Amino acid sequence: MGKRPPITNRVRELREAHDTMSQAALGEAVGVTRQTIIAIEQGRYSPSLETAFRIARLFGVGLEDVFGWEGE
Amino acid sequence: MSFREKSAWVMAAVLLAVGAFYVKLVAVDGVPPQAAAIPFVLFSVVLSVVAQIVLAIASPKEAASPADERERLVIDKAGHFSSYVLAVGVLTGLGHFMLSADGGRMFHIVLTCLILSQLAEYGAQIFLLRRSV
Repeated sequence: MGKRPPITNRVRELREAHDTMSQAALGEAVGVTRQTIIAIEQGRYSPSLETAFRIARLFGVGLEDVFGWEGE
Repeated sequence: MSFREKSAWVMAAVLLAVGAFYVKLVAVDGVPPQAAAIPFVLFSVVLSVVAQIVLAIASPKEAASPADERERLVIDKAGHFSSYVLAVGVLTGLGHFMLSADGGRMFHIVLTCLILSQLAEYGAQIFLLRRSV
């Protein structure tokens, strides 16, 4: 397994707070597959800056309310 | 399982079947390389097209969608990995030809490594799609 990216996120939490939006619906809204949303939520994949902004804008929050930096 | 992963599994299976057919033609039936390559290419193309059509019918929406950013990264990494397999095969074939001047065997080595490199690419895609990237 590869090293996990040092980026944390609250995507799952925000998705559940938005009428339990499905992973597929979120993926479709921001232009990625359901599998990519799963990988982001599990911290196995760091999205591009564009996708990160799309997710944050969709939830109506700032980028740093969704993503955080972990470690040094 | 994502559409890309399904596609990689199906294409690997097609290539494995057609590759086995090619090896049988050459190693068991003793067909010369030029004659074995034509049915190999024909079957590869026809079966790949049929497999992709079946996949597209089964998942039309996913088939019509372009690869997303993670899938593109996976495809790039897998292609990069498989290029090493192909390079080793080509160099082995050329080295063998320099020593033996056997063009027929060089053809077999290069074509076999082309098949192996494609299998390596599909395998790497499946691995990376499951691991993420």
